[in-house]
Amino acid sequence: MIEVWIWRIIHGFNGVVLVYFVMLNVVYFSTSLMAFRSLRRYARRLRSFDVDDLIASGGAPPITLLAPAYNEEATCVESTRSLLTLRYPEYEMLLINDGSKDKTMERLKEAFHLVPAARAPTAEIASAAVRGVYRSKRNPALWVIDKENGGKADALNAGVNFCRTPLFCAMDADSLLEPEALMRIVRPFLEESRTIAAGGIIRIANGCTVESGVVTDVRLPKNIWAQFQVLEYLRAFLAGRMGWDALNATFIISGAFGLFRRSMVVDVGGYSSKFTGFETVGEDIELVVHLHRHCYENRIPYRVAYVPDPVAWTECPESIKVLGRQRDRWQRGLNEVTFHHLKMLLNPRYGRIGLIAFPYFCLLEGLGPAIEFFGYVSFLLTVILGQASWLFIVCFLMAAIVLGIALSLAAIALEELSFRRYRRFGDLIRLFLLSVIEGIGYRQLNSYWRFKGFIGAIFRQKGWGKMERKGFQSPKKSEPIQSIQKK
Amino acid sequence: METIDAYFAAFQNYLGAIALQDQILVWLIVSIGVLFAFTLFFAAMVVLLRLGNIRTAAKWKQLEAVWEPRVLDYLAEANDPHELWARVHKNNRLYFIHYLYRVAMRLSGEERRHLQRLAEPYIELVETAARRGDAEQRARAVQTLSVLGRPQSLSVLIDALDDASPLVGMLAARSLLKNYSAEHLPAVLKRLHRFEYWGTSFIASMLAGIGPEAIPTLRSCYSDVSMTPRSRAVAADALSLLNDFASADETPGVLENEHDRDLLSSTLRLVGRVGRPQHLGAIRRMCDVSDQVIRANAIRALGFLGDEADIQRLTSAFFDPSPWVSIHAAWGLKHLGASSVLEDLSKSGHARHELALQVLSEEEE
Repeated sequence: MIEVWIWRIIHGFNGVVLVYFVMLNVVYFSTSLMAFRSLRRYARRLRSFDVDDLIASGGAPPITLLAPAYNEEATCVESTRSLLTLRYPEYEMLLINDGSKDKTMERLKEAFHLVPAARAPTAEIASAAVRGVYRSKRNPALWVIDKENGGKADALNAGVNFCRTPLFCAMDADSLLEPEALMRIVRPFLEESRTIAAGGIIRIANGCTVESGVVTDVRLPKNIWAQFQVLEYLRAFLAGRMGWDALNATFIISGAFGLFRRSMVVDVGGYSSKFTGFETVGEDIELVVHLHRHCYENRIPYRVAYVPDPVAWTECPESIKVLGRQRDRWQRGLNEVTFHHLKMLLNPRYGRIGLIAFPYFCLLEGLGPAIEFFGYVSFLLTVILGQASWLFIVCFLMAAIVLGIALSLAAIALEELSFRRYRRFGDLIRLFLLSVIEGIGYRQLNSYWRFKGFIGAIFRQKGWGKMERKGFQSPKKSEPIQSIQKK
Repeated sequence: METIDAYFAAFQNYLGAIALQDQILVWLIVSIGVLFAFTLFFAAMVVLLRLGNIRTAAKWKQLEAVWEPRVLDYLAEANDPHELWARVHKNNRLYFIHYLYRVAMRLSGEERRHLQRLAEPYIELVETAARRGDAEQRARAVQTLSVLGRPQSLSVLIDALDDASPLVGMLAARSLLKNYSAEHLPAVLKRLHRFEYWGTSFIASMLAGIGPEAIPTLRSCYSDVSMTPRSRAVAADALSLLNDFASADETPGVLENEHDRDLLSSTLRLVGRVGRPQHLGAIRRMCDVSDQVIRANAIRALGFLGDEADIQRLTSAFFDPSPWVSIHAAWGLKHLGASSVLEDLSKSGHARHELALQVLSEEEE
């Protein structure tokens, strides 16, 4: 009798997994298809957009770049130099040293001739103590806020407190923005004054040539883990976020590059941190969800936009250990945030966010790792105990793999349709191959990391895990080209 | 059709006759087939897009290699363009226009006019595109006309002001103001409501780009109560950018009678920039209003225009709950030469003492 019930449970769970699998992939396919239309329109729209003309005509609002840095001695000087040469009429940069234990502060002082300066806060979001404010004598647009360690969200809050412009751009200190990125990401704010936040695309700099802080030659990294991430980022940013933007339901703006209306962020109390009452490692997701919630609850007309052409280049993990920690953290962040704002789930008061985006991210992305993980277990049990025919097993695996390939190819097609950053035919072939092999091994590993993150969220695990940075490097003379090298 | 229906009915009968697990299996196999077709489709799409892009790039290169030396010759010597036009195949006319557009974006003045002459035989195609196609195509056509258009293109641009797409309307407005100057300013001002989502400062800077000849029209828009508050606010900001001193006399009336936050803020910015001592009374009355945005703008204007009698008011405003009011008060104190007050505040131990220190140490705003 017990045996019968066990089998019923296993079969029932297999059914749940099947339904989850179908629903998830229907969403993936739908967003990919919507992204095709949106990207095509956007690519055309870009032809009527002349960056030089806009820069010359003025009227673009001043922006403050907020770049939190923690133990970034390897990359902070070059990244800061690059960020100070962006093509934008009026901007200043606030680099927030979040209590680094390495020589980040010393490197910055030396490179930019920082001197103590007075600067008054314009908001009072709770944050860890600020030890001092410095300004560069070499470039007056650069300010450095030296503060006690409090985490990335806390550093950003300290930056928001000292921000004096209507818009601020939150980013990672180790990311590289393309010279025109600010001019491109500010566009939704010029064209639609209801815009309160806009996100750009994050691309992977591993393998690319970086000269004077600018990515000059784009190619795929040699490291296999980094290659998989290139494919994932293409899927996430070109198919996923573009599709969600077409639905006007942008739910995530990456912490590595987003532009926000300062006053609105102050109104919602800034980023979530231990000093503001809700600590999460998904502070970037939390801010956007909180903004949605605040605007719906207060009936404020607003728009959160995603723009696919302003690019921030970032270094991705090349070791399986660091990659695992990153995915664990991302999942934990998503679960913590969706749980914290559970009130929005299927709540018509929050419009399409409450009825479409939130259920997808909460139920399919949030619970997905657990369903997937136990799905693998019950599937294995079914197979080992001979409860499923081999034909069925082969068919199911094939369906999963072919689906993964189709979605990846759709993302590559979107890239080809729009921005075509990977110009070499060899890179295209490698992306093809990656989309085939990704489903065997890498996807399962990802599920495992995400499941760990899911468990971590349940048990309220804290912390970011260590991220090792190697630094962007220029090629020596004509030496090609692997720019991110092991020290 | 009947055959398909028959197959479908047979498939349904087959599904009805087998067990659930087998049904799932059949659906899985069907899904694999569909997904495989999608995969092949996407793969073919990628390859075809890549090949298409390579082909287009090669075609561009080839065409430009033919056109470029001749265009440069024409720009240098303004010789007979017919030889160049003879090399533009009828299928490549739009390519040619786009090529000229890219060259024109790097040039100005007489050289750009030469390029407009080169584009003339084909520009009708672009004028047609500005009235057809989707919004993005129309926007691109309007942008091209703004650079390469002929005199007859003017009517197309004027029509485009009322295009269903605000983006097309905005591009037409920018083009009209940039190329045909103040003459079309009233038409653009009448349609400012179409650009409600564009930022005020962006539009004001676009209007101010015309130069002093825009001032009379902007002034009448600013003082016209039948215009929307936003249009008047935009006009005030543009007048402020143009340093129109005469418009300051309109500001007390607006400050007295209007209630719109944007209009009042723009008016205070305007009077702060171009006002005279006789306008101080109207500014002072706005320094204690409850709206912090208006209050900050009033304190800012007072800092620019005020006199010694305002030092006490600015000192009190330094402790305003809004940090923005406080910053403008500190700048105002410095501007009025009350550095000793700021020095006292910087040593006061008050939470805002750093602000006083900052303003003392920084350049005049």
